[in-house]
Amino acid sequence: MVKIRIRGLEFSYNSIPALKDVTIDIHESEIVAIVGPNGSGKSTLLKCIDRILKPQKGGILINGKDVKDFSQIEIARTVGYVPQSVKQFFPATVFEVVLMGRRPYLGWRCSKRDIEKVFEVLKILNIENIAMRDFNELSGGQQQKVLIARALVQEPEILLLDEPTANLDIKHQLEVMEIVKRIVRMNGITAIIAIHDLNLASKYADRIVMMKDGKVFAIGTPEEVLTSANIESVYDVKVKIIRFNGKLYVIPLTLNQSSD
Amino acid sequence: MRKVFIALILLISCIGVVSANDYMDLFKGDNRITEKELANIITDYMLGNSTLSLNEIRDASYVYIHWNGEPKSIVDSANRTITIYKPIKRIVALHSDAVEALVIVGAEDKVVGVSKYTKESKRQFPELSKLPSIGSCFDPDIEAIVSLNPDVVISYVRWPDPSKLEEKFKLLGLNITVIRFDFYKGSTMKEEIKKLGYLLDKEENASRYIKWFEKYENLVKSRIPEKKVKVYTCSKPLRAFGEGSGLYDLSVAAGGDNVLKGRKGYFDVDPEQVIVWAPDVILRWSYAGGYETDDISGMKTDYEEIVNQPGFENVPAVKNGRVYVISADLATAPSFPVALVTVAKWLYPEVYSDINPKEVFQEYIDNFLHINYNVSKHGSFVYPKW
Amino acid sequence: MMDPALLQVKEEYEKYIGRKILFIIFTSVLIVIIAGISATLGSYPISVSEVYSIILKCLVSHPENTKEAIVWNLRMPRILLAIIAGAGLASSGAMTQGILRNPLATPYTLGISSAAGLGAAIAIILSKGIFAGKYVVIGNAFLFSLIPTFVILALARVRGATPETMILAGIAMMYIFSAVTTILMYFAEAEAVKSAYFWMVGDLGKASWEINPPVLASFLICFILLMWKTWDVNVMMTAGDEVAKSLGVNPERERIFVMLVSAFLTASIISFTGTIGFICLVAPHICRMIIGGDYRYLLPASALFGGALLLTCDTIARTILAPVILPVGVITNCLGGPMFLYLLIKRKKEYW
Repeated sequence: MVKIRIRGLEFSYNSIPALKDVTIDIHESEIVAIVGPNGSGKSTLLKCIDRILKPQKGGILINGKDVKDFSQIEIARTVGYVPQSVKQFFPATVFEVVLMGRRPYLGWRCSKRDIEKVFEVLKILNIENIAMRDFNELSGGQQQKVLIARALVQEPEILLLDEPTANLDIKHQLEVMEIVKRIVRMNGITAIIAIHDLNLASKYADRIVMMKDGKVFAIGTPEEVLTSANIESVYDVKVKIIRFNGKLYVIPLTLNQSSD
Repeated sequence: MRKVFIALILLISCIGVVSANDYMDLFKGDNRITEKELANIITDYMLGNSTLSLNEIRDASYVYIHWNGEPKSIVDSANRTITIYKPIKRIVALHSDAVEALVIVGAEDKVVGVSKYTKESKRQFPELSKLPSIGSCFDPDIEAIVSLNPDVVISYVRWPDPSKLEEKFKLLGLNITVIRFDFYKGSTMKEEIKKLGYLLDKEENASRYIKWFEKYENLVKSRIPEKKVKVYTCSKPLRAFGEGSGLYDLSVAAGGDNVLKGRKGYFDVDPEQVIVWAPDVILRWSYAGGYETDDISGMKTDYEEIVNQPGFENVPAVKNGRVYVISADLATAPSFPVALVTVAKWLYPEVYSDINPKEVFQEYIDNFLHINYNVSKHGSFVYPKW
Repeated sequence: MMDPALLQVKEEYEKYIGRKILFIIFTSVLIVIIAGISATLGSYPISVSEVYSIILKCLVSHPENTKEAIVWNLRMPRILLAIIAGAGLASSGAMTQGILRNPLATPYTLGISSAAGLGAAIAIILSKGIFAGKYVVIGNAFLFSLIPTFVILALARVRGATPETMILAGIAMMYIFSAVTTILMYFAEAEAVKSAYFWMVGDLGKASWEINPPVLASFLICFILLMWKTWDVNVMMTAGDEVAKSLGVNPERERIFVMLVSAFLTASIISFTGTIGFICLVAPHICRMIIGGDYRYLLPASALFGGALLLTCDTIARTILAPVILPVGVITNCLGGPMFLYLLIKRKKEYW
């Protein structure tokens, strides 16, 4: 079943085009990785899906309904967004940060249910022991988990993650990706992950969208997309693809000599 | 309906005439105390069924005898009609200039409260500076005023804001009359003293002062020469006191041709402009001196600041040593005529060779302030020293 | 379900919330105590027991003599105005810091006070005499103080309502309005200039039963509106604009809404009192250090603490050198400043 239908999407920042004619279908309960070099439009695409940015052209349908027709609360209850980097954060406890994810459900008071939900998610992510710690004092991996927790308490059908593994050590990279995989499988939600690491994409994604200059270059299963030809033309890098334990791994070789 | 209404009013006013329940009832209808009304309240009192106090009956008698039974009215400098129905007995003076004026008209015995500034003026007001303080004249302590139980409060025309004075008395339901008189401007001084004297039944003292004031005013007026000297008035070398400021008015009244003519208020000027104006005399204002200090150094510093102002060495006033500093205590107070002759003599020394401003000042202190104060020995009012 | 670790965290969380509520209760009680002390202080001799019996009596009837009028018409309105003004300034300060994500931001940063100053100065200078202009000064100060808000609003339509745009526009306007005021002063009469300066210093001397109700009404309405937005400000503070959008908050719209309400609240206070500085900056920070940044608790705590602080300062201002009344701003700075520094040094962790 198609969960998100993206048709002819165009977006530009002050007339500098970032997305050009992007058309993708994303199915229910699948993990889709969006890969591509810096500036290829990965983050922009995620922000368009969550209506943080408003595309100039084309449309995005979620459950068959145009996102433009969603109310702000509706979209917040449907889509959870985990931002790329944690910039300057104002002191708040982990609990407070995660509780913000309940905003789409809150009246003025937060009910017992909201608080229970926060504890539940903290428990699932196994971070309940840091609930009263200050967010800023946490390590990068812990912070990333807290931000995922915040998106999860939104009880979304779709989870958007922007570079969730950037700046994490290898253990935390795997940990974060395992969490994403677990919750997707457990709750039947759809996850779209913008990610640089092609090996993580190959390991965890059901399908991969490869982007270049704001356009979809290739789309399909890791086997279909992660070919050395594709990678060479998108990244200008010569690679070797090897298969290990049933998964593809990309080994970078050299910079393409023909590149400028 | 209307007839009934009029009849009611008449009836009520009749009752008022027959027996006054309240002091103010005496003035109802005819706005005066008649012989009959006075007789009524006195007999009522003697019979023991008067609602008026003995003090009020005494006031009524005073008004009947001395004021011809009528209330006294003046228009104060805030342009309000002030009417008093009783002799004024207790006065709170919010500013020292008012205290000085009260001393001049000989009503110091009526003053019951003064400002913190007056409290500091122990030499100028040896007795009155011992009175309770009501705080600052700009933000007085209403409770302190009220606890002194005054009939009248005298304040500056502009300060404090009515919301901090008149409106507060109104809120407290108190019948305290606020009279706004400045007593620091040469232009309104005579009028204000005259009205003050009238209200306090001290017309004689007031007119004695006014005569003295006019003597010097006319003297200076009559001696203004054809060829005027150019004057520049300031508080700092480059902070000009233009039209509307006391010092400007003083310089013009003394016969100077002020270079700031046509420019209002206080403002900063370009030193080059002062050189272009080329004033023959520079007059500077100073808060450093006054009655309370014999130390002239503050005024001297003010003087030197002008003389040493870069560029001013080319100004005729500085070149010819005609820079003068005058104390605000002297010039913005009822002692204004002293300041007038002082400045006039600075401008035209040859014309005033027969006048010694210091003696005029001593005359003022002896005749009007009634204090034992020798200007030759005490205070610092002008620089260079007179 | 009976996970001991989870139970412990929940307990910790409840304690954490309990501490905030305790602080709010504590400041409420503090206000009542300070008000009770303040009512007994003044130059007019009235004994403590008399003061309280007068207050009790006047709750049901009108004051009948000077003593009663002093307590009921002079001291009580001033105490109440101090509480309302302190609470209002602190609330709008707290919210402005939040929406602009800037610890130095106050409604004054948005140019409100200098605009109000100009409005008052114009009214004072142009009015004929001091008796003509009472409501003109208040009204003009109020109208002018809303100008910067509308300029920022217009600018936000073109450039987007980002904190940077708003702060920079506000500061630019602060300079413009101060400059115009200065120019105006040069052409005005010396006495009017002095009066305008007195207005700008700010004090609570104008308090009365006549003036307090509109200020109180404006405070209550604005406070409820701000309380309603505390969640959104929390989201904007902890998540940033993009994530706020994904959480169903429109940051630009909320920022403008909160700015309008805060500006209106500040304007309606300072047009009666003149510019009372520092409360709106320092009260929210002190509360933030003590109970943290959750606006659902921080806003009421700041309001209460601001009220207590301004009341304390005003009581000191009018009694410490009595009968000389000091400008309340001097005391807020003298008291709030060191208190702020002390907490800044003593605080255990980052609070902003």
